[in-house]
Amino acid sequence: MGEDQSLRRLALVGNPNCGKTTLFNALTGLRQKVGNYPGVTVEKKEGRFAVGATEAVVIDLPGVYSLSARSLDERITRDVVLGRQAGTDPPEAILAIADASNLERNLYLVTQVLELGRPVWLALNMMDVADAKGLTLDLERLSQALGVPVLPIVASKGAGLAALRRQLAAPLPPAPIRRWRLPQVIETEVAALAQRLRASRWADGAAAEGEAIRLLLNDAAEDDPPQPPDIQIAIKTARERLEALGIEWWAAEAEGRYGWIQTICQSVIRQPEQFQRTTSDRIDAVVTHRLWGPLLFAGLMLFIFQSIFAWAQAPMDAIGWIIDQLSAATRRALPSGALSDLMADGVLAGAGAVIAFLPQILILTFFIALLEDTGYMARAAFIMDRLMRRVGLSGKSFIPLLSSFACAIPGITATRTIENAKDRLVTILIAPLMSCSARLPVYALMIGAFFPPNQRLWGFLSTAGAMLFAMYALGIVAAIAVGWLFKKTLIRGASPPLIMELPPYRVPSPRAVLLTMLSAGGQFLYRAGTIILAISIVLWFLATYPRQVALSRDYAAERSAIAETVQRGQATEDAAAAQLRTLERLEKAERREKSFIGQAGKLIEPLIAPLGFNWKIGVGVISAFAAREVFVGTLAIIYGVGDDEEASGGRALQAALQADRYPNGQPVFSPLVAVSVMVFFVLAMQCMSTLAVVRRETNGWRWPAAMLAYMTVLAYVGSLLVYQGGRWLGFGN
Amino acid sequence: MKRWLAAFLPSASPVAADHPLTLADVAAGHRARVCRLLDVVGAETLRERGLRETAEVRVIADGDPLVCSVLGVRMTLNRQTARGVLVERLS
Repeated sequence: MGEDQSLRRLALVGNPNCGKTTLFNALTGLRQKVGNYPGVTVEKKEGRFAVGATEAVVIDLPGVYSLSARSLDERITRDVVLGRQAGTDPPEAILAIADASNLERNLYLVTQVLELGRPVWLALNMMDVADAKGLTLDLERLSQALGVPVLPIVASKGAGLAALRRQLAAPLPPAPIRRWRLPQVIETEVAALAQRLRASRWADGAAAEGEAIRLLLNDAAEDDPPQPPDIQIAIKTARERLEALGIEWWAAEAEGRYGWIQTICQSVIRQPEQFQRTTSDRIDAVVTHRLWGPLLFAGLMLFIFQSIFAWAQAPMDAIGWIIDQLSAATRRALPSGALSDLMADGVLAGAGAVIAFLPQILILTFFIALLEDTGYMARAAFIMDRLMRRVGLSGKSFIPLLSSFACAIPGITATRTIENAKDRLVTILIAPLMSCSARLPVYALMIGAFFPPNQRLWGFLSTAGAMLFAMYALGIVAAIAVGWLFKKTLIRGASPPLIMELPPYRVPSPRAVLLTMLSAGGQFLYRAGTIILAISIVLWFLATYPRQVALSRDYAAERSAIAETVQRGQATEDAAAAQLRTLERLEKAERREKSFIGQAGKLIEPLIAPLGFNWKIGVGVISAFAAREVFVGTLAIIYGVGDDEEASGGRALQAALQADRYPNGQPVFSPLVAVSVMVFFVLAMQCMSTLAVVRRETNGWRWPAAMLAYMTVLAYVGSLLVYQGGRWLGFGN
Repeated sequence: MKRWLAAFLPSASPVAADHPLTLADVAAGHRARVCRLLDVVGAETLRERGLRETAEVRVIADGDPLVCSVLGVRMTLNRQTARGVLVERLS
């Protein structure tokens, strides 16, 4: 790939939750999110670090349990380590990492790595946890048994990393050889197949034996990757010969490897005899309880949404105040005219209105990072499994869905851990129905304006928090219902079994949580500073021009008349000033209605009127197809929030929405209209980036197009039912 | 509606006298040794994770899915899959 060939190229391979990403960060200094549920590392990541006088490139591979390649993650890992991954140079050596506190299970993958024909180092991580469990490990004996250097580390604390770096800088150790044996009859078949693989150049010399074991004894390897016909025939006939002898070849690899691992562990690990009930066991007794588990999950979600409103208001007001000060300073610094209006009414009102929701994004991300880092995410999947099973999916699909609360893009990428291709596709298609953080500003604006925070349900539950919870719950229910429909129609398939590790509970790392929050906050501000800013400027132009329009009233003459009443002493200055402000608002409102955007909005109004939307909401909804947050900025521009001198930031926009009236005096917004708007946003596909990621993950535009179509129809129908149903039930206009 | 509500309710599956003991029949807090893995979907994955013939298992929660500990690692699997894991009780 045009890379410096003198660089040492390493692949980092290990089980999920063994601290692999933490080690990668510690070695390379790169920032990366560290989670605590299986399969958090789904992207290929590379980093550089110094080894002696030169540098090494390390590839952080997805956490996997074996190289059998049942899921996309496992396939990526296998292809990279075997040098078959397009666009990635094969690694020169492998740095395997294992959890010292669960060595026996972790060594299964390590034994497969030892057979790749490349030099290997084994980093034994979480030595502190092993100590705490009372385990004593004889590392020298382990190194001798495996035939590779073994280095103890505690990646999270940086312990042992200096020695590890020194080892990585030293000359490469010899490639290990296989030291465990299968029953002789299987060994004979493996040797014959390895010979054939070498002859056909399917696998190189040293790795041929390991590849022969993988192909012969692993039914997942039958067609992946497609093998030459003679090899396929050789595998088939070899299996038939074994079956004729009554040998269960499909169980032989696990038996052989674990048998050897067990022997090693018996001589290497000293552990307390008696079984000890761990803290995780005690927590799980409640968290995974049939009754308490779901109740706790629902309570946690409710608490999170209540907190988002309770904690965000003060910092939101502070941001609003700062934006107002900037707006006022801009108007003072610039001469009155188009540029001043653009800065105050376009840039600061549009992008500023969105930025005001940063605290809520940070609070939501804080909770999601906490759930991931403590290990609770896997429990949530466990709790939801029975419900997910009803719709033909497994609880494993729920982890990507939960991740989509922050953003659908990492959620969709996290579906790579799902082994079943049909389940993966259905999960991708329903992930954007989960309310991502970009929807939060829309919910917060509508709820803040029409569901007062001091209003309580049953005396203790804030209506605002409950409404937010309802919107997130609607996303989950819609995702499950659509998933069920897909599995019953277009993407039929049996419900796959849930087999998932529940990682031990861990005290969350403040650094990891902070990094996740900073990353989410940074992305939000980046979007506000780029796409949202650009759209704000375009929208300001469309809402301001053409300047020369026929107005219904002679506003200039009316202003002069008011000034004359003051001069004649017929009105006080204060009263005249109030009249002038009202007149100015009316003129601006009429000019916006006759602007380019107003004309376009009026054009679509008949289509959206059945949803309770007027043309301003319609323009907001259409502009939000670029990015959902743009809705808030669009309304701020259309409602001329930059002009408001009485209220600040988000409150000014809320006040403008509450005050807006149709010509017949009927309010434009009501709690029912607010719910209709929110339901539309829950169900609509309004994110270009998500569509692009779905195209990448599904290799074409067919499924992203289907997603856009079904979600748009769902949003329209959902909103229509809410608004018309609400009116029919007497919930106002 | 009943089917959906059932998703949240505890499930119970009585064990027939002539029915071989499976992992799904082991109560929470008890240990068992795997005698045989039947040809169920996911059997290879179970073997790779250490739930193989001769392995010792401790059941932590016996709902659906159930939670068990194998090689010191907590694992969750559906009862249907667990019914494909024949076991013998350990004292």
